[in-house]
Amino acid sequence: MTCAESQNLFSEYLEGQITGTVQQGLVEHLEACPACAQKLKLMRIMRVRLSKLDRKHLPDTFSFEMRRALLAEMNRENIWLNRLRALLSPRPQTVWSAAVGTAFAAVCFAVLWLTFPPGGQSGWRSDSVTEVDAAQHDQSVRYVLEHLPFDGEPIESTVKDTARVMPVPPSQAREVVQPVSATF
Amino acid sequence: MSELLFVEQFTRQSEMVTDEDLLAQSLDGSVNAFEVIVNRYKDRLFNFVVRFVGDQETAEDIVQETFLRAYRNRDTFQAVAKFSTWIYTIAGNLAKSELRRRKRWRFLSLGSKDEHGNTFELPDVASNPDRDAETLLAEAKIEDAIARLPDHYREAIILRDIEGLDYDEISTIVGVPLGTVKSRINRGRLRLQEDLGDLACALWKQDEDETTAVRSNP
Repeated sequence: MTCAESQNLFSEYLEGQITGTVQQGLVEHLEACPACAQKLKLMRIMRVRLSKLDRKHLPDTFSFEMRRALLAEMNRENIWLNRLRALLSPRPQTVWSAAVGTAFAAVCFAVLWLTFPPGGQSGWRSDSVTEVDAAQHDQSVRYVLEHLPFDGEPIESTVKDTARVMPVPPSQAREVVQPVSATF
Repeated sequence: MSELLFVEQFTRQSEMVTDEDLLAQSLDGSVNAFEVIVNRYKDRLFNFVVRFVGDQETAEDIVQETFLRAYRNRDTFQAVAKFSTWIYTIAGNLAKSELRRRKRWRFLSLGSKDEHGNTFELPDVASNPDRDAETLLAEAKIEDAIARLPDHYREAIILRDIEGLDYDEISTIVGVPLGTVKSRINRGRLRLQEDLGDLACALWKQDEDETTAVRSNP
């Protein structure tokens, strides 16, 4: 056994963790090598000294501060627990509040949707404007039905046809729409 | 302060209760049960951490943070490991993070710390009247030598030789195989002996004198 090999076993030897031929080999080396024997003895002394080192203590205020920190931590946990409990088992008052809130939000959304529809034009229509639109629609349907291309030929649009489809000129239609939409 | 007295009473009553049972009680909302755990481990953890990081104030903060983390994660503790192993692991990880942080900022620091980030303090003889000046000086030199050890040797030496934990526990705390732990402890001890040099020889001489004295006056 070399010095390096024997020194690798010092700790285990001191703690009684090696036996048999390994222990025998180490003992033989120690008998033959005073330097290793001295190192082993120093290690034994060092171990004892280390175990007897002065114990360090925390200041007296530590327990008080620790308790305060733990209580703060417990309160934080309780806040989240209470929130979770309220979500999982809501009170009737909470349910009513949520229902009223949801209904109010739905109404607000509907009003906004009708006022500013995605198409860009207001969704609000007066009866008179609707009547004009319905009349135009009826005219258009009638025209299409009369001019159905039975032979597969495309329909040629003429000024006369346009006049039939739109009996109310655009300028006149605007005059009808503007005063009504101004009220909204 | 009356609450603290209550905790002390509770601690006395809970001497026979295991850490795991106290942890279960704290899961049911008892802060007092967790405070008993704090009282059991605070000084042990402090001794480990203060020698590992070499600074009292930082060690206090780390010990407090260790307990808070253990409290926050008490529902994740699994009884397959010992509670002491678990709490030492948390403290060790926090201490290692602190040492890594120090290494990162070492070049910006102009304090009275050495290259390992350890603060040297002269032994205070007045605060330890029961120990003679020679012993205190020797202890201070040993503490300095421990502080100069590489982090992984230092951690293993403190846990084994100062805190007295067994090899399996150290292996779990440090997160390395058992063989590596044994090797680190052995090399750490040899490194300490080399570093202490004359003091080690003086300790040897002192030890022999004491042995002779015991033999002559049995």
